[in-house]
Amino acid sequence: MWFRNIFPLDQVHPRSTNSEPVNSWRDLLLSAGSLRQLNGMQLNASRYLKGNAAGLRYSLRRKPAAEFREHRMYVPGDDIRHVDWKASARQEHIFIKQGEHPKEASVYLLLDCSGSMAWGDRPKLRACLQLAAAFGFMALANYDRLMVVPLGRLDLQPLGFISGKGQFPPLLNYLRGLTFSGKCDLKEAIHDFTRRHARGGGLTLILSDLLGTPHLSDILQLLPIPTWDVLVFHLLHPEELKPSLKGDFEMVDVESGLKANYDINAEAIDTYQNRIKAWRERLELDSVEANAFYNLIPTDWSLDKEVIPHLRSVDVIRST
Amino acid sequence: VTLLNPLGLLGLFTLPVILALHMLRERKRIYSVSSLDLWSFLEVEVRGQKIRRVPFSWLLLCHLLIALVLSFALAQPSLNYLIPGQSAQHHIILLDVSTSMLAKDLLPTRFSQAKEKAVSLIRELGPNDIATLITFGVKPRLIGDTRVDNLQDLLIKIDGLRAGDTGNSLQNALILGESIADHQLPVQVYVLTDASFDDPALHDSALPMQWLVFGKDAPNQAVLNVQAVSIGDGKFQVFSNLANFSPQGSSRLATLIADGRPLHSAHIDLPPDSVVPQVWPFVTGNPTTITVSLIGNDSLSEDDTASIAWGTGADIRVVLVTSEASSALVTGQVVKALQSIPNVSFRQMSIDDYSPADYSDLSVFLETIPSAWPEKDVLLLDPPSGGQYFDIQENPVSVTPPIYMDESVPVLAGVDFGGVRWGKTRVLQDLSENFTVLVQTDNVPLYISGSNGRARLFIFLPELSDGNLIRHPAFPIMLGNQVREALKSPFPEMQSTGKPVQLPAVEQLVSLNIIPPSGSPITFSGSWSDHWEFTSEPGIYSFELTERSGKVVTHSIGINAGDLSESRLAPQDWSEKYQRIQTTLSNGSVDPLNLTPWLLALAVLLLLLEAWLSWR
Repeated sequence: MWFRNIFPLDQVHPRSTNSEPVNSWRDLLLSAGSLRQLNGMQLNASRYLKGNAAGLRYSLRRKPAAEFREHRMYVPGDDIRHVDWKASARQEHIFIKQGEHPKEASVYLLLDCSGSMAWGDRPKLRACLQLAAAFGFMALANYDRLMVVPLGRLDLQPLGFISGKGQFPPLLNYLRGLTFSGKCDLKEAIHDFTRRHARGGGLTLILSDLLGTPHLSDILQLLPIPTWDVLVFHLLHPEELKPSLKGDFEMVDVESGLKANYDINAEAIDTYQNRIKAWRERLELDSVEANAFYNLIPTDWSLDKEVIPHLRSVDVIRST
Repeated sequence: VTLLNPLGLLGLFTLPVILALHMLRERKRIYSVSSLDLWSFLEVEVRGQKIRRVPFSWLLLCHLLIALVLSFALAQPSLNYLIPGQSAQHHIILLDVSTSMLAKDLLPTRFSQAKEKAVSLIRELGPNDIATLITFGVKPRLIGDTRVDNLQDLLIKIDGLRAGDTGNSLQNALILGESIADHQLPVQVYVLTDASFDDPALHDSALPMQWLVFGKDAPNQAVLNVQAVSIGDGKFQVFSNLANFSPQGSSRLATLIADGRPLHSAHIDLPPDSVVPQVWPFVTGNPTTITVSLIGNDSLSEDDTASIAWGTGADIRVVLVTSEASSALVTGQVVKALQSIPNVSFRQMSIDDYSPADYSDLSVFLETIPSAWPEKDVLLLDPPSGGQYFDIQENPVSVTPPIYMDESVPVLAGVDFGGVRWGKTRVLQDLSENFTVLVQTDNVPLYISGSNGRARLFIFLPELSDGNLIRHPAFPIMLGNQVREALKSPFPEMQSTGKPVQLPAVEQLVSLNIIPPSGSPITFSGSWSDHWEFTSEPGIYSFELTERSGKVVTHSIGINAGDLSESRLAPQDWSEKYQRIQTTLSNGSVDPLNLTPWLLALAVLLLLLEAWLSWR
């Protein structure tokens, strides 16, 4: 033990995860328990979002239907089969019965594929992929049009649009094939997304650690309401939220490889945590101002027991 | 706490090494972060320009503790801890009572100072302490124990102790002490000795021993022994060995004393560390005691005199009993042979006049057998056939050489049957197991010995009237041996001080009177023990034996203190070996607790903790 402790073989801590054999958990991105919970739930998107094809999502659009929702005045050209004769008899006007016109929505999953997402003993990309699989499953199950876009990685093609539960296996295969490396300028990546892939707006879920992103306002300007309904999921490792470091360290940036020597003491840790807190509050404020939704997801949370109940509590997902 | 191996503390030098390794480890610690921007608020350090602080961690503490514990374990600490409320000890005092303890290099003597020390040890006893005093000389003796004896009685016993034994029995004394030690209490053994004897080869005792050695190397001269050889005509040749135990030579005046009368004196030069044999001029007058004494003082006066004593000074009573059938020629030859022996009181009588109550040292029966045996030696010459005691055949047989004889038997010493023309001999049927054949031919015993009751029987079977044996020189020599054997002293001529004298059996005597060299005679009547042990004083001891016949026979023994082991007064080299390993029991402590196994167990626990800390 002595030499292992005093001269550790792997001097870099925490261990690098780029080379981690993650197949064991990537093969099980969603457990059976998670799928049982997600079945019968859908992403809670704005009714103002555009939708072309018919779907299962409620919208502001109405059509004459037997399933009554509301009345409207008859106008020439209306199908008289939808006239509510009983109501018209009690009034001086002729009313047409109108019902729901459910629609589909476009769901964009924007995944941060930078090297920092692969950092940590239990890397952040694990939570990122699990969350993407969960959101993707709900979108596909509700006949939404799903597109998965890897941000910051021009060498990776996006997936989609796909729709229907039958597309879930291809989605999982796609997620399993993703790699996380290099740097990612989030603003530039989303600008590239809006330019190349966005087709008339939709529900946009951004999964990222947001490192190197001090503000979200610039980014969210690229995705304005009501065309875009944006949900930002901030994925941070517990060690990033509350570091357990103490002493002198030579720190190495996992993305850039830059090094710097720091003396970490309790005061530095307190300052660090305060800065993280302020950063998160700023990001949340930016999101509120842009009418977007911001939420922090620690990457050590269990999808079944913590993440899904949390998303239900903040009304990100709901039962159909 | 006592460290049995203090060199083990050198392991403490690993502590700074461990500290240095941890500081080195601190310097080499690299931490990968997801983004340096998160830590950009900190000031970047420039390594190597500031004093390094000690990187405290539980792991460092664990490593230091492991090294500390292992270092102490290597030092083999033992703990002499106190038991509250239990302060009683058992003190076992082994006191040397050998002759060398009488040396006067310490005044008044080594033994006196040793006794004073023993007394002071006993006087310093705590209220619950126990003391046992054992002396060791020729053999160990338990003198007293405060569990049995009153403390004052024990001190009186110590005051009455006398030294003067030859030899030591320290090993047995230690065994005796261990056997009577109260093992419920801490035991401390004290050995009070001058260590001037050979290595006692003590076994490894579990009891702590403290050696108190009295005296140093002191020059001494001694008379080691005296020997006197009779050369006939009442003359004796005296030899003695004188020793000088000193690195310097010495010249001493020596005196030869016979029966208390100084006969010769001589200045004898004794080279350093030597033993010088001295041959003295002839001594005449049949003395019973001879003493050689060194004149002047040295460190040990007890060994300056050596004595030898022999004989009783009384005539040997011999009675010759004959029958009517006895040949006059044979009788005449036997009488002639017996009368030629010096110091013999001779009587001759017929078997009809003989009574066993007539006390004689030797009763010789010629061609007859008595109706009852006397108490002492009996010699049957040419016994008749038949008889109530033996089955002797009627018809004699011819003696056919060769003759076989046991020359180691005293009665055959110097006897040479060469030239003897043997005639016929009686044949003894059914030889009893009590008899031993002394002389025989191929198939016929000629001379046998045995016992019957209190009588020692010697039976000479050849017919003396036939052949030339009675005219041969072997015959008077054989009879002379027989006479001397009859009055052989039951005591040795001399022996060392302290050794017990074996006393004759009660059955043969009425009373016993022992006269030591100084002091009052001690008289025993009716019963006494087998041994007389109080021989620590050198000199001539007289033993007056009163026989049932009323005759008083006096025997003397020279008890000598001179001995190679006792007269050399210097402490021997082996004593330093034992003194080096002597252990002292601290007051109120018990057997020291060896802490090494406990420390090793603690080290193992710390190693497990270290493993947990490193793998968690």
